[in-house]
Amino acid sequence: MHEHPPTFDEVYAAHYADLTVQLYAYFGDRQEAQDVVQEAFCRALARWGSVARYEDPVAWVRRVAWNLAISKWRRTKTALTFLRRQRREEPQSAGPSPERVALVEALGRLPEVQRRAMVLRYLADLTVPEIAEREGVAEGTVKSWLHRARTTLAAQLQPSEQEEVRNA
Amino acid sequence: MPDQLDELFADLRAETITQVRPPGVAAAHRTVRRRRVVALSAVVATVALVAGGVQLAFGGARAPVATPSDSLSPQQRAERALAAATAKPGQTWAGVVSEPTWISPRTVETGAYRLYVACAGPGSIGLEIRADGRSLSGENVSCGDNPIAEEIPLAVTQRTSYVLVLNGTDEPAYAIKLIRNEGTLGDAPPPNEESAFNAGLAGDLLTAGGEPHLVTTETRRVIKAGTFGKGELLVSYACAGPGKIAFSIVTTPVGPGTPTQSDDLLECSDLGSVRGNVPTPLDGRSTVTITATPDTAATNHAGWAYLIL
Repeated sequence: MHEHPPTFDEVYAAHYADLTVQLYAYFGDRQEAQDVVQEAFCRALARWGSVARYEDPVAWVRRVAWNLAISKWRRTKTALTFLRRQRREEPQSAGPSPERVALVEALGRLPEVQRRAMVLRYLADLTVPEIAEREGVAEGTVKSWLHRARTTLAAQLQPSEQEEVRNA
Repeated sequence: MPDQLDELFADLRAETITQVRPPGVAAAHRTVRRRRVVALSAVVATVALVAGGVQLAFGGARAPVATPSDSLSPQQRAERALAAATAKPGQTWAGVVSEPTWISPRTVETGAYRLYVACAGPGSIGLEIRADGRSLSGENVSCGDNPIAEEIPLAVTQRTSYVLVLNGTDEPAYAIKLIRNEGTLGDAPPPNEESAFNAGLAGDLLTAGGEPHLVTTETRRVIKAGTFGKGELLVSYACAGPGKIAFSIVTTPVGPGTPTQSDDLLECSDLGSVRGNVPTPLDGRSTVTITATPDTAATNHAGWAYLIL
């Protein structure tokens, strides 16, 4: 328990963007990731008196965000989000780099558990035991997911010999 | 490749972070505030729904009113309506419904009440409950030559000014009493913020289909969701928060027919649980009543919502 619990504003400022990146890597949709993370923070805010006293308030927000990501809430919201986007013109920003597109697409082709494990490992910086605890599986299972995911990603992201020749 | 993966993920993080546009802390506060307001409004609405859903005559079951007729003089109607209502102590409002009639009890404190309504003459009167300019519920009370006052339980969870609006044809006479019960809200505590917030969350799960009704769990609810014509309804309900809520959906034919009942137990959670689009066939015009009984863990902590399409 924290002696001086962090304020909601501090946690939001420090972690909103990072959590969004993690969810973006999982969804492949930045706006949807932002919506899910914002919703998780709203739920944290509603009970901040309790959440702030947890050992790791960010872990609570992350868990809720991830749970939302795979929940009915997200599926229900998707239709609304689609409608909302029809009416909204977002400020245009520079497009993502080809490497980023390729990585997100390759992640999207992984089985969900492998994709989640990769994101938690590489973007949330969780250890294998932490992922195992979060997912409720043995550490060996997480290692296996990560190994398979790395192998698949390596095969998908490795430029083909033809492309290497062309680039040369 | 593993090293390259580290690099690729680091690039992904660095590049994406620059494009993230946080809605902001103020937006989060607005969302939470809106949910609380919506949920509290829903609590007020539930007051009226509960009132409409539980009707008891003095004998404990709804008593048949005398055969309606227009044989009584206006004076006789007034006397009989008054006689039916004044069997109970307390202030009485009485008169003739010749056009929409507004009755304004003074500001009503939170608590449990019984509203007695008696109507003498032909036809029926429509009784509408309003608060803060909004219509909360409508109720129909049958009139008769020898009226029996109908008792409508009211759970008032928010101190506000309520207005009763009466509508009727054939100029029936009415008499109304509002009596406060001992204790408060049937001994249930007022809804707490957590329950109201969770009702908002549950409602969020159903918003794609329309405007859900949000309900708190400080007590067991019996809600008359409405009267619908022949056809198939799609009933959806959701709950959020701790514990479990037992739902029961009862359809009662307005005319001859057999009531139906379906029971369900929903385990709530912080993310919310949904039972969506439960087909509810109606063989004829029927009243749909939803009863929700929270278990100990859910009581006054969880919240729920329903939507009928």
